Amino acid sequence: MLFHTWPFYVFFLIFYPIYIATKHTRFSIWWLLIASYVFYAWWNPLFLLLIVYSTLLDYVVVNQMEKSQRKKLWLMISVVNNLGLLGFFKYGVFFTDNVNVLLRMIGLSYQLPAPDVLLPVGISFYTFQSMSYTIDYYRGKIEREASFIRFAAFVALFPQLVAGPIERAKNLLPQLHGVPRVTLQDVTDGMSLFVLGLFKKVALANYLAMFSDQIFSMPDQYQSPALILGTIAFGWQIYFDFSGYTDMARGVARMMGFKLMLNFNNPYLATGLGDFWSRWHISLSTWFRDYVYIPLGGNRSGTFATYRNVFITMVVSGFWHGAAWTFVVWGALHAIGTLLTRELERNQWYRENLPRWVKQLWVYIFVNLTWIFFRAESMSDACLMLGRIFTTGWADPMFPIVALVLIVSVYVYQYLFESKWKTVLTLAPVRIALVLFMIVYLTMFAGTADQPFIYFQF
Amino acid sequence: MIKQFLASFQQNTDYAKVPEVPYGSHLIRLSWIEWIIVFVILGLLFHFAPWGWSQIEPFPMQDDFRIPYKLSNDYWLFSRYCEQIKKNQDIFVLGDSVVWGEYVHPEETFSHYLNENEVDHVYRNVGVNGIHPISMYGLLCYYAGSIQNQSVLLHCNPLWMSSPQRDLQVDKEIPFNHPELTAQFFSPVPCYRASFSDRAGIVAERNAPFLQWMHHIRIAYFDNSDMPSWTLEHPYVNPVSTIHFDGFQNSRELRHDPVPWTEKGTKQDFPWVSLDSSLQWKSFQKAVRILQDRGNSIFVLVGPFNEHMLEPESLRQYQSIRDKITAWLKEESIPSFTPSALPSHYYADASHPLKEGYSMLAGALIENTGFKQWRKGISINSF
Repeated sequence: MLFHTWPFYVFFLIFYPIYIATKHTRFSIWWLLIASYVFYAWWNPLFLLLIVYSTLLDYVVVNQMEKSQRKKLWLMISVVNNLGLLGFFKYGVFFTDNVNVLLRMIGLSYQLPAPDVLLPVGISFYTFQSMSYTIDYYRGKIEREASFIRFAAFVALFPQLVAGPIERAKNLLPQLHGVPRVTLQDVTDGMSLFVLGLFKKVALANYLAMFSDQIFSMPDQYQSPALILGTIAFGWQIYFDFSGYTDMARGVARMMGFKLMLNFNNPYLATGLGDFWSRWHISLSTWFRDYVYIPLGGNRSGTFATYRNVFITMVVSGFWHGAAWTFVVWGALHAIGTLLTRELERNQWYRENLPRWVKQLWVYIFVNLTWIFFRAESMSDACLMLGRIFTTGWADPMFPIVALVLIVSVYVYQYLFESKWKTVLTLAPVRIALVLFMIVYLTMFAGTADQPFIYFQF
Repeated sequence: MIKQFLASFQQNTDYAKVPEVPYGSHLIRLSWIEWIIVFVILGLLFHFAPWGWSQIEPFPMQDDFRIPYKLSNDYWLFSRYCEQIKKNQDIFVLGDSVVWGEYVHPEETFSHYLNENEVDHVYRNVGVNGIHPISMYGLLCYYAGSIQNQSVLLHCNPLWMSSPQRDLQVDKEIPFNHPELTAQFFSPVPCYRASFSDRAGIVAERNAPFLQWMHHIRIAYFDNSDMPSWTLEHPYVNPVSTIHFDGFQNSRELRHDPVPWTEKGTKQDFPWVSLDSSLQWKSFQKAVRILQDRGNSIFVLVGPFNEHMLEPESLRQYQSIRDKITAWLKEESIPSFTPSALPSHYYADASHPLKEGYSMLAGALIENTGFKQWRKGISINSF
């Protein structure tokens, strides 16, 4: 069920009044769980088995940790189980393909059969969320959740189930205890966030996808201008797509009385790669920081170890995004960029004298170039596209002016938001006009194509 | 577990602990008063925009006007057209592409030749290309509320019952015309397989003139594309500049060469469906009833189908169906005319006459006693 489709609106119209009417009873948590499972089963009821299994196992693991002295063993069971699920469903084909290539290279004719399985929607998100609970409990950061229903609702909370934000138990579980506080402000804030997210997804991301999909499906057919604009279009498409989903998720959650974490913070205004990752998919980057980078040693063991840890974390993060070498390269490039800007920031002249916009520009260009690896169908396509950007000449890119105007408008808005002109954006007529514009645009001009969210595949 | 579930219905007074988290990286945040302002403005816009547009977008009634082919799915325009006809007290000639004139110019259509033979009334071509009885019923239900207390010459085209596919009673998904006008959730046609979202969108559009108007804008000015798709095709064109107010002119372009079927086709062996099980026939009956319920005076023209094109067995089945249709109309006291087939070379295919065919058909209808009485009745009622 997608937020921007009719089934969701019908679902929410049924769910919400009952949720509000029963919020003073403990039935609301049952209702929340039932609704979340219905929401998830809408894709494929069989996927439910997996999420119930994963939830049950982590619930039992933490129960056992409380009773047992061998906490580490139970933690390992949880981690191996969650990563095993991910490995089988998400990376099974990738591993068998690569093993088969290796077998061929050493002259063996035996080939491993590729697993014929569907990738369950959102598996990367809920396994990470569930795993963070067991790790945090192991570290003594949170209490054990006694109620299985509440824990299951935490793992499956439908607004953020399939594409995050990846909430921590410390933040979300306390919100599931007791009566949800739903104020009028929560409802209006939720509506504001939802409209913005809907606009980002339907009006902007889907629009830009129409152009970037053309370019990335046949990079050999286009010249430099179209390839550059296709890359830029994809950069904004993925931002609007994912941050739009997050806004809608946060909006829906807010209307229900839950406050989910901020997941995007105008990432294209970042002045360094580290800054970029503190603004892009914040819930994932902090997850990797807390559960990969810091356990590896973080920055506590000297420069080399820090570089190694950053590199490993970024590559693993890249691999989390997709089972292909292009994602690994994308992660590695971001690791290099992060280390590079980290070093540059140590230089006083760079830090203090180089204009902010120059730093923003180069980070923007770097991030966009790396998107090529993220989006390309294969490594060869990515290399071809990069090569053609720098070697082919002029040809009319046929990029719609309307799309350009929309992108520039968003960029200007974000720039103003982080400038001294921010107060202009607080004025009621400006805010009302923007919401009106978004709703009218959505109703009148937005496309009719039913595009899924990009991050659902991760 | 069950105990726990039952206990969950007891009152709970402990409020949840909610942490403070940043609202967002933007200031798009409205208070309830601001939301009310937004809703009021949107309400006014959604209510008045279609009306305002109909005031500035001209729609002059030309002689022999028919809804342009590319606007066949523009039901908002159809609605406006019906209102204009009602205003002029003209006679609606309602039907599919046979009435519309698939192989002929606007001045060679059935309604044109009726007008040539008539002095008291003006017949208006309200044919909609591709509209079969199931969608005709939907069109009348949702978009033709203004056809009330009017005179309607309704065409019944037996072609739609000539096979289970045309009757839309097959179970496998097949594409067909005007799916937006068929039932979406309750007893939809068996071969209709749209997603829930699409169906819900269609129902929403039927009930929201604003969405109908938007559909009109897309069809009339943006090649039936949404704005993003259109701008990809025309990247450097200002979308606003494509909107013109020239009215909707009759196109001189022919959809097909006006060639007799004998020069291009062969005899057909249509596997007619039984009238009792025909979905199209049931819908035709419903369409007649809705017109009657709205106080309209109806006259039904049945066929004439191209009998020359049919193999003997198929012809026998057709004649049986035609006779049953005529019998039902008689039973219901609905004035009707079932002419005999036109000369073979006056047909372009199984059901569409050529201009000579229309001329002959119009002449025959005007001379029909039942039709004369019906027209007389209109005159008495209307003037």
